Amino acid sequence: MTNDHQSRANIPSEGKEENIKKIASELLQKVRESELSKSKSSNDQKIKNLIQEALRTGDF
Amino acid sequence: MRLHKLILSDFRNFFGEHVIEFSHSIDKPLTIIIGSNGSGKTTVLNSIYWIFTGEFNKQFPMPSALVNKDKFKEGGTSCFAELHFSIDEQSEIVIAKRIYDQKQRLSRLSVFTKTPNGVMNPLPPEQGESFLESFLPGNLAKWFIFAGEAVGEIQLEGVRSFRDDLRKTFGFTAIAKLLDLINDVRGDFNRQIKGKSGKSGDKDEAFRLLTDQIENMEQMLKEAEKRLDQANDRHKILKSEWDSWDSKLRSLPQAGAIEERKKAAERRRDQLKLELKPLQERHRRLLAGASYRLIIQERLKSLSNFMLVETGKQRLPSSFGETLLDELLKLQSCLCGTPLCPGSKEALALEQHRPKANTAQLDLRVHKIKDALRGGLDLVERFETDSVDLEKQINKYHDDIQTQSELAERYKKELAGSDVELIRETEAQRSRVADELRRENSAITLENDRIRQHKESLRQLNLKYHMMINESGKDEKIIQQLNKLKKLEDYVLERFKKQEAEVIDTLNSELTRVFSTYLSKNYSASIDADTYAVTPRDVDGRAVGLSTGESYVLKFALIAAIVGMAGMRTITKRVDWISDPIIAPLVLDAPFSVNDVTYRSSIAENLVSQSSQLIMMFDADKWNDDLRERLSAKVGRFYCAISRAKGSQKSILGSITLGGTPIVLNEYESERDESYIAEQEVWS
Repeated sequence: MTNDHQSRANIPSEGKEENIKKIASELLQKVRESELSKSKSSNDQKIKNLIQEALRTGDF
Repeated sequence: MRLHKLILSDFRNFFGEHVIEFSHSIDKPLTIIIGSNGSGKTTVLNSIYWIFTGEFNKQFPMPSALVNKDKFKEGGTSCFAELHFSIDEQSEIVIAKRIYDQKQRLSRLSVFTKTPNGVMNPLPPEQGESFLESFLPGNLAKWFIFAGEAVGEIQLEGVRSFRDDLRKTFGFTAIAKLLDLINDVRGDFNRQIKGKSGKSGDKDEAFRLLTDQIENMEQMLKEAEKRLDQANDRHKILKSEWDSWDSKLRSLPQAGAIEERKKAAERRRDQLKLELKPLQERHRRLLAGASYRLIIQERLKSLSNFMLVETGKQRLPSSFGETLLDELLKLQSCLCGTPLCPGSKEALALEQHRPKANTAQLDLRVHKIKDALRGGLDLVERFETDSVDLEKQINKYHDDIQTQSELAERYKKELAGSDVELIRETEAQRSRVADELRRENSAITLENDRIRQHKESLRQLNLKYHMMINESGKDEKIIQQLNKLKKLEDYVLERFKKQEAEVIDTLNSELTRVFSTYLSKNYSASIDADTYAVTPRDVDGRAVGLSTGESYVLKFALIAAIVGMAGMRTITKRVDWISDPIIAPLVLDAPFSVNDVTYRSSIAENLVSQSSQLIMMFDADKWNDDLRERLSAKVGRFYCAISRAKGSQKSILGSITLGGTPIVLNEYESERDESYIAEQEVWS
């Protein structure tokens, strides 16, 4: 399967899957921390920013 | 998380400072504290709970006075509990100290971190609580630090609050939240793309329509989720209301059932009375005829005797009766001298008596009388038998009627002790709430269906959107990011589904293992993925009931499996977590207060095998050789909680024996009433 095929089928390569796992785990950690925080709405925006940052810089 | 040390200072029944070091090594994760009632074990549990939550465990209402009484009399106004813990063996130590000021009735939390080289870093006061929450959220503390009695409250029938707590412990709510936020980010991209399309005068109406559809669908989804949340909240309130009515009803005498029993006894009594009536009537008739029957019997007997006597005397007809008649007619003279000339009036009159003098006819008559006499006597004898039988039957009826009347009376008295009106009202309220709960359940099912449909529609629309974007050659960067977002979403979603399936599967398999290992039953557990209701099933898959003792084993097994799963210590299967679940040590006070002695060692063994760290507090009378033997390999620290009293000995001294040496758990003639924790050598 070529990279192009993988991309279309949304199947990340092994290294990229590791990256996704790392990003997802970090994001989840942030969400869990924000669950405990009292100012949930501002935290939601912070996590959305983190997602966008990961989309810009993450290799997956 | 691993607990290292607890320091109590003037806290409740602990005068002065007391330190308990907990065992936290992987091979010896168990710390045991044994004591009699009132020796301070529960205070140890509550102090840990208090540090994490600022409250006492639900089983024990928070007292207004936390400072030791003697210390308070001496002028001390504050006390504290301090806990040292770490995430794992390598990480820095966290020190959480909660101080209580009894005069101001205020508690204050200080949190420090301590680096391996001993440098203490205080956290800003406002961050202390949330920092602790990140280790063990307050609403989950009850599953990790709890008194044995609390296990009875675990509802295996699938209670939403229990399911929600579990989902939170396993991090599922965080995953769901992340998916929501990913969706929001997609919405932001969509709006950007839509905005750009509009500005550049793009006439691609299909694209515009699609983004509108996606927005609408997202809106519908949000509304449905909001409605679902509201329905769930209402359900929660109603469930708690139902529980409260149900528990009230259970606490009242069960008037309905008593009333039913009373009515049944009354019905039976009345039926017996009805059946008795014809018997009594027969008896009455028998009795009414008894006197004349007795007279007849007497007469018959006397007649019978008379006839026997007369027969014996040969006074009854015999063959000479007719011969005498012929002789008289031949002599033409009667015995009294009256002439009997042939053809005379006297001779004819005598001739007319000939049939009476006929012996055969007379004999026949005598026999008829004798037969009649025998028949009469038989009848009288049968009357006696009939009468006795009837009386027996009647007496049996009287006894039964008496029994039923007494039962009815007893139930009546029981009913008099219960407030029937209150029971009816409580039943009506419970039934009303049950109706509302049913309606709410339907609403929840409906909204869940809608949400599923909306999500599927949204997925289809997003797929279409991605294809359209890829084909349209729009902003490359945004397209790239949207593709990444899709990959991230797919990954999280897939792991989410996989993880939840793994959790359910692991719980099933752990509970099934407990059935066969500890209960010797060929049962399996099935856990509903939606409600987390646990149903034990037999080999044919039929749901089976459990005894109270067995259900406690199952509940403790559930706790052990949850803790074990979070700590990756489950025996049958292990969950591959996408993010770390809550891992806290298990602190158990009096775990066997509700358990059958048969299951104690099994439960303890199962708990210790799955906990990354376990602190168990036992009542001295629940501790036994079997427990000691089966836990020995895992015990790292062993303490006795000893209570001291000022006065002379009032009750039997509590004690346990370790290595042949008895350890007394109650001391008297002490300076003050207090508790202290004494470390003992761990037996080998």
